[in-house]
Amino acid sequence: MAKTKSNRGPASRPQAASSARRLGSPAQQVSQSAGARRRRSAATKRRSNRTTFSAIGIVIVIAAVFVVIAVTGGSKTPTPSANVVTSGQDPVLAAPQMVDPVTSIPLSVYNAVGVYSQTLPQTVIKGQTPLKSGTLPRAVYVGAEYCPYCAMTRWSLIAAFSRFGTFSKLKMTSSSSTDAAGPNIPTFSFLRSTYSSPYLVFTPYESLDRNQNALQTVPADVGALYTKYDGNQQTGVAAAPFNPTGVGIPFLDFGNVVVSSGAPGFLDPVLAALAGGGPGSTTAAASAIIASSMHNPSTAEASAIGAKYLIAFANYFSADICTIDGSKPASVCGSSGVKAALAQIKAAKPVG
Amino acid sequence: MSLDVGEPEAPTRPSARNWALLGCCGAGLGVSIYLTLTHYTKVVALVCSNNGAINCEKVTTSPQSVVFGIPVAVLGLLFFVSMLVLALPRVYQRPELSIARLRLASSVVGIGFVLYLLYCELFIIHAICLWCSSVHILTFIIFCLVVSGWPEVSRYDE
Repeated sequence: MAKTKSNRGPASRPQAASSARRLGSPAQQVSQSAGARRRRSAATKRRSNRTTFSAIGIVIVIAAVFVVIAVTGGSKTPTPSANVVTSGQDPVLAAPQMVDPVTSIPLSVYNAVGVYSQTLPQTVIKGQTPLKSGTLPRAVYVGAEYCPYCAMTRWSLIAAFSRFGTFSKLKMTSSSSTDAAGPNIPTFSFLRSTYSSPYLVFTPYESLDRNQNALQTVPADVGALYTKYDGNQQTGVAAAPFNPTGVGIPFLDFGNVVVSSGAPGFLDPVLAALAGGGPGSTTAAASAIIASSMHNPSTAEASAIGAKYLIAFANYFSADICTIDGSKPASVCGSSGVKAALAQIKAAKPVG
Repeated sequence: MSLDVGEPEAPTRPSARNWALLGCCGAGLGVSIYLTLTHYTKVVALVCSNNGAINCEKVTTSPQSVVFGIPVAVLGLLFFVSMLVLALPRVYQRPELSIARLRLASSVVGIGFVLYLLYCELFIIHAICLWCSSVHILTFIIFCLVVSGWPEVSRYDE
């Protein structure tokens, strides 16, 4: 009991005194709490700033890495001085100097050239089942690397299709060295290339190489299209009423709406200019010159090649694509060059 | 006497950050509307260089210009409409943390998509679209504004 009395007595007073010293006065308590909160707030703010700058910094670094790789990677592309055309069984990749100018021809150039006062070089057909791949319209090409007319046509095809999608792994080659019509015409090859577009599917087949050896197998369904709209290769009988000229290549089918066989007569000046190898000392150099001439057809060099005819042909192909893909994109299908070709397509009497 | 100094109150007048966010969202919305119109109509022409590396036509007609069947221009339109709503002063000043989180998440998704499109332009399409780049820059600025403002709004209550 004494202990009890003594615990409640003086023993409690030292505890009260120590707790009072620990807590301080009410004003001191407020000051100490506010100070602690300021220190915590400052620490939190520093962490938040680090997080903010880190997040922004990561984005900047990723973008910078992309740009640096893209810029420095472009310096390692091959120069157009090499001549590496082989048999055609394994043609080399087309250099950017050959691909980029053709796939980025300015809209103003297309519009200025229009269809260059030519007549429609294709046949419009009617009453056919639309040619599709899944839900997208499909365009088909059958040609061969030896073929000089295919060689010229590919320049226009690649220019046109590039307005609606993207090619990858295009190859460089030249037509047969022994073809009397036009030997060694610098050109592309579609062999093992790819094409992607949100508007249509394009499936090209190079059936023979430049030495007329077998290259790609044409699928049975494409072969049937060729026989129906171009003609019988064995008999040489053209498919009436779709093919008013003879059986041949290149064969093109745009959605079973527009078909063509061979190259139009207005490309004859191009054939003459490019036969024998074209303007460069090598196939690669000549290809780069042809590409730049299509990109800017106002030069004397471009006039000598007949680049405007290739661009006109590209406008026709662009119009064919617009006819089957619902006129998309509007920036291409509404351009004056394509509209000039579309007018001819609409004016043509469909057969079938 | 209360020792609690209280949570910060939401400001009643739009802050400079809010105004900057509104401005960027508005500008981005304008460009997105323009790109969407050029994609769908023949009336509005895409005014841009088509030479070499700067080629708007090549970029806007590339396969990468459509994602899951939706044109990228339309996706941009939806992004800027939603960000504009989230940046309106009445919405921006709301104390709900969920709104701030939604704004942060949207800006992160936006900048992620910008990085993907930049990759496509540089490595797949091999061309740059100036109008698209302006949208990318505006999205980056929006991202910076939202992220740098997060510490302030993250103190709001749910």
